Amino acid sequence: MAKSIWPQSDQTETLLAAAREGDADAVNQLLDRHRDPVRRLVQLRLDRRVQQRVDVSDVVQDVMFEANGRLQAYLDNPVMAFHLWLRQIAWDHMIDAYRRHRKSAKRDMDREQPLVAAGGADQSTIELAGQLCDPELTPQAAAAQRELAQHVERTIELLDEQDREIILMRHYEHLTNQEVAEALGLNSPAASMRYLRAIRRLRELLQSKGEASDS
Amino acid sequence: MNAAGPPDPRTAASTAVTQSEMSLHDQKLAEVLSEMTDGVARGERVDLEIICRQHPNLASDLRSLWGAVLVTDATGTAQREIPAESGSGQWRGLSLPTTIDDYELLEEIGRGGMGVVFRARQITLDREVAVKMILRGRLASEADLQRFLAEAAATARLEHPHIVPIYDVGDFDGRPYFSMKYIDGETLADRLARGPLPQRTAAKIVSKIARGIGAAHRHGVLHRDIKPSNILLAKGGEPMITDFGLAKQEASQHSLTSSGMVLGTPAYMSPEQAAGRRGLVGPTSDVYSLGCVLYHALAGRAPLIADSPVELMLKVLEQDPPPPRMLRPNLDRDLEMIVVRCLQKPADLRYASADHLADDLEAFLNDERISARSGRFSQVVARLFRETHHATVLENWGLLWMWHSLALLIACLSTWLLQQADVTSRLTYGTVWTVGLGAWAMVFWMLRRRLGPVTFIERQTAHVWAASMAGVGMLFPLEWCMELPVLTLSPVLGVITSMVFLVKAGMFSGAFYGQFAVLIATSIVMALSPEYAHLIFGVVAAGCFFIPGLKYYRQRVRGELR
Repeated sequence: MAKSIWPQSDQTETLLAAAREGDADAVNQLLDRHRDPVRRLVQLRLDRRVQQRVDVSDVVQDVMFEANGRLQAYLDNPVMAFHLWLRQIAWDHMIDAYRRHRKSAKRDMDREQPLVAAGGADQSTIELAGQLCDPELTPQAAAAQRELAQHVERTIELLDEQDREIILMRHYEHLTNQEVAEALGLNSPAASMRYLRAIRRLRELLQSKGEASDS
Repeated sequence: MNAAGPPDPRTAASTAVTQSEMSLHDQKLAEVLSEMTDGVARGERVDLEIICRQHPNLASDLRSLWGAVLVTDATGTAQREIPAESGSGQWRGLSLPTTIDDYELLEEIGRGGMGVVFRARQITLDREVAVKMILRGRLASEADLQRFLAEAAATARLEHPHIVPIYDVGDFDGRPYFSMKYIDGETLADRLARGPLPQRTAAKIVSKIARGIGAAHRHGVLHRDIKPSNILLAKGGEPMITDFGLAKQEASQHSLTSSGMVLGTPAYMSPEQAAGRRGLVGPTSDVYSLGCVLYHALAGRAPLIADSPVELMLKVLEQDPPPPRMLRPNLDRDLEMIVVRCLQKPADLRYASADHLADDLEAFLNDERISARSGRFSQVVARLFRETHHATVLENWGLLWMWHSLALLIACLSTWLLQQADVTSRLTYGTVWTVGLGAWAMVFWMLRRRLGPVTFIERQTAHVWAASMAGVGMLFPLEWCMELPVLTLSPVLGVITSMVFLVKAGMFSGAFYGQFAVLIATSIVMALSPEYAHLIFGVVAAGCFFIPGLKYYRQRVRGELR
C-alpha cells in the first residue's frame, strides 16, 4: 500500500481529462477526492500554535475554494502534478494563516510546544499512534514506542527549517523525491542531496540526544 | 536553492555537506537513499542488505542512515493514520459524552489495535453497551471495510453464554463501529498480570472459552486472535471471549510491515498463522491459541517468549515451549498433557476441535480419564515422518528434481553401457560422473536461481549435494590410488546418495527416511551384483528423486491454481 497522503494518480488523470472536457461532475469529484488529503496536510504542517487559533476546516475550505477558482487556469497550463499544485495553494494559505496569527502565536513562544504536544488532546495522538502501529504491543512496548516517536518528533523540531521541511515532506506526507523536487523547484539530484543532508543531521541529533538521555 | 539554514554547531563538523563541495560519493549516496525512501513511501519492502551488496562502497553510510529513515517514517506514518475527519470532530478530541447514531458515548474504556472502546448507553433501548469504533486507517481499502462489516455481521449471529454478544454493526461518518454487551470486569490479561491462576480455575476458564469457540466454529466463524486480553472476566461471573475474527488480515501482515519494521507479538499465534500459510489456518489454529492461553494461565507466562517479534516468530515455527511443569512443578500431569496436546506444531496432532479440548478439560475437572493421554507413541512416530515447515521450499524444486532423476538415469545408463562394452578407462568414467554431472549441476543451479531468490535452507541443501558430488568424484582417484579395478567402489554411490536423503529427512520431511533406507539396501545389492550395479542404482536413485519431485511439483501447481 502506497503511503503517500495523496490519492493515486490514475484516477486523478481521468478526472482531469474529464474536467478539461467541461465535466462539472468530474471537477467536484476531483476536489472531493483531495479534500481529506489537504486536511491531513494542514493538520500535519500548520504550526501547532496557529492551529489552536484557527479552525483547520476553515483553512481547508479556503484552499478548496481557491483551487476551484483557479482550476481552469491550471487545466489550461498544468505546470506540475495536480496534487503538488493543490499543495502549493494549501501552502500559501498556511503561510497566510501563520502571518495573521503570528503575533498571538508568538506570545506562546515561551511555552514552546513541539510538533506533537498541543496539550492533552495531542498527547493521546501519540499514544494512539503508538498503539495503531501495533495491535498486540504489551503496555511496556507501547510505552517504549510512544517514547521513541516523541523523541523523533522532538528531534525533528531541532532541525533547521530547510531540513525539517524535507523530512516532513518525505516521511509525513510521503512524497517521492521527484515530487519533492517539483514542489521545491529543484532538480531531482539536488532534492536527493538535500534529503541526504537532512537525514544525516537528524541521525546525528537522534544519536546525540539518545546518548545525552542515557548518561 | 543553496540556501542552507544556519549550520547547527553540534552537527556542522560531521555533516558539512554543502552542494558546492558535494562529492561524487555523496551524490550517489543521495540518489540511492532517495530511491530507497521512495520505495518505503510506495509501501514496498526495501531490503537494505541487497542494496548494500549492490553498492558496497555506500554500504556503511547506508547502514548508518537507514535506521533513522525507518524510525522517522514509522513516526510519520503513525501520525498519518490518525484519521482526518470532516468537521472538527476528531474523536481523539471527542468530548464525552457525545451521541453517535443511537448511542451516547460515556467514557473510553479501552484501546486496541483496531480502535477504541467506549462505554455507552443505547438510547432507544436504554441499556448499557460497549461501542467499539474502528479506525479507518486500519482498514486499507473499501474491500477491507466490506469484509470487516460482513465478518462483524457474521459474528453478530453467534449466540453463546461465553461469547460477548454483538448487538449492532454500523457505519458512522465512514467509520465502522459495532456495539456489544458491556461487561463490567477485567480481562484475563489484567488478571494474569497479578500472577498465574490456580489450576482448576485456569482449566474452568479455558474450558468455557473453548466451548464458546467451539460454538463459533460450528457456525463457520474462526476467532484467529485468541489471547488473554480478549477474554473478559465479568465481576463474579463467567468468562467471555470477544473480538471475533477481527484480525482477519493477520498472518503475513503481522510479521513485517512494508517498511521492514517489525510489529506485533505472535505470542499466542499458531505456527501456521505465524508462517502466513493462510490456507492452513482453521479451527485447530484457535485450539493452539487456547492452549497458549491455558499455558499462560498456569505457568504465568506465554509459552514462547523472545526479545524481538522476529525471534519469537522463529520460535513459534521451530521450538517447543518448555514443559509447563518446569515452570510450575506441582502442575497436574493430566493438565500438562492437555496443554502439550494443544501446542503441537502440526495442526493434526492437536485436538481436532475446541469442543474436544473442552471435553478433555471437563474430564480433568471431573477427575476422569483424559484423551490426551492416549496415542502418545503413535504421535511420536507420526511426528518423525512428517514434513517440517521448510518443506514448502521443495515446491521450487519439484520440476528440477524430475529432470535431475533423468540426468542421473542417463549417467548411470551410460556407465552401464560403457561397462558392457568392456571400457576400462578410469578417465572415461570419471568424466561422465564429474564433468557430465557437474555440468548438469551448474545448469540445475542456474535454473533454480532463475525461479527467484535462493533461501538459506536451499543453500544448505545445495551444499549437501555438492558434498555428495565431491564424494562421488573422489571414488575414481581413490580406486586408482588403491589400484582397484575401475568401478569397484560403485556401491559407495548408494551410500553417498542415501546420506543426502538422510540430511534432507531432517531438513524437509521424514518421508525421506524411506529413500535413505532404500538406497542403503541398494548399495548392498550393488555390491552383490557388480555387473548390474549402475543399472540398479540408476533406476532406484532416479525413482528416489522423481517421486518426491512429482509430488512437490503437483503441490506447486495446485498452489498456483488456488
